Amino acid sequence: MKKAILTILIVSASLILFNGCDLFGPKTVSPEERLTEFTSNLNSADRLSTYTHIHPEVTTFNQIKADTWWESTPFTTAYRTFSFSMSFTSESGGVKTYSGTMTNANGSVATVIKFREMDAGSGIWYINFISLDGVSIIY
Amino acid sequence: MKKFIISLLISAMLGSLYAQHSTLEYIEGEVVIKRISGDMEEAYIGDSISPGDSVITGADGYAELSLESSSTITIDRDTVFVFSHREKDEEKKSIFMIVLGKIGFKFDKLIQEPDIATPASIAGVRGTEFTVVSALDGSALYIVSEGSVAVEAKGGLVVLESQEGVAVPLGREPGEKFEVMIGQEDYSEWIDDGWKEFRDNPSDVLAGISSRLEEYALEAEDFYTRYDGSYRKLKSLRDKLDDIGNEQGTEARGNFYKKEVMPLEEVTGNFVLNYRYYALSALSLRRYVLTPMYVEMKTKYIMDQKNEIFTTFMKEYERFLSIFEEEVVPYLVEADI
Repeated sequence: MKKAILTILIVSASLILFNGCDLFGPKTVSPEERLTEFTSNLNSADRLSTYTHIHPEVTTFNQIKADTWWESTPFTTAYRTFSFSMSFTSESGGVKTYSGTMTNANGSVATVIKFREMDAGSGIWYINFISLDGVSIIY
Repeated sequence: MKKFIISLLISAMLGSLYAQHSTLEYIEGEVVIKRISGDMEEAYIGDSISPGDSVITGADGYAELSLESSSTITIDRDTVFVFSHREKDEEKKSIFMIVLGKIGFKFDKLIQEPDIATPASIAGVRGTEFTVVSALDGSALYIVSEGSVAVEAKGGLVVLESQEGVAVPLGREPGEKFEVMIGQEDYSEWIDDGWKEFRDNPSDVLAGISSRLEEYALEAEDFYTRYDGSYRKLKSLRDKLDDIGNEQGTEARGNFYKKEVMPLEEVTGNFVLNYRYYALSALSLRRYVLTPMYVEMKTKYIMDQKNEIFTTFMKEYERFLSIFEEEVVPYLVEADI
């Protein structure tokens, strides 16, 4: 019995360690965590999954799955390394807005990023809108 | 600072203008949502429909969608409806695609005039209440209850006012306008005519659909060529950026970037959105028009596959697939399939 309990504890600990809190429901992603993951993707060599940080309700979601789009925008690999300094500004209608600056090889530009939950109450936030210097990039 | 605040306000306005979220308010019978991820899900009231998703109704299916702008879209039986998006004349446009079947639109407040697309036509909406029917043979029927709708196909333009309708055969200009007694129309006969037309002339109807596919492929190629030219120019400007940075410092690099490079990035990115729009439209044609045709023919001729009607159809089917493979697939990515 003692051995069985010990085994369950070890398996549970391993699952929590390697898969987050999946044992207790789906993993949540806060706007801050999403931004960190997005930034990490932008700074990596493999960009194929960058679109997965964008909310599927973004109007251009299907079109921006292509790498050609990312390479045509200010998020191109040519401008690495990217960093964002963003502060929460408001929340309205389930959308959280952050504003600040994005810094890359070209310096800094004023940036607004909005986040929206996958489903209300799911706790999984995605990027819903990005504008750089007043130009909507993801909308 | 003032410019920054104005930019933020404009961005916020643009965001609300272009984001069109919709919710399933009512369903009956078989209604399925094909998510942009490719997953098929049974639809439930309250489900959110995102751009890129398709709503597909079965023989007994019916669905009502509400948009954020208090507008309503009704989706009749045997219908495939896709919500998409493209850039048109440097303007961002929502596109409601009716690949097959019947859709009713009631726009209470147009926050942004969408385009309505069928395989045969594209319509600009200035109206408030109208119906669009797209038959299997690719032809479309527009009926306006209130307001006005401009229907464009093959260079021809017809503006419909209240209680007017027009039919658009695939590959041809819109026909003559006709008067409609609202509430007394029977679209089912017209839809059945599309199926009858297909059953009578399967290879001819499929040839018409193949022509539409070729048009989508040409548009995709045209925008890809423009993207390619623009991207080359962008690449050389980006190289220049590095030179400016090395010779004149970070501030000069930043100024050159904002003045010269950033505007070209916006243009180049829009070319990508457009070529992808046409390639994805072609993908919808293959999924929702070609597949039911193929299933219908395969079932009908399962015991008689040497029948000339079937073999001629299969030749056209192979031609469609070959155009798709050669002229559309290059513009798709793995995540689309």
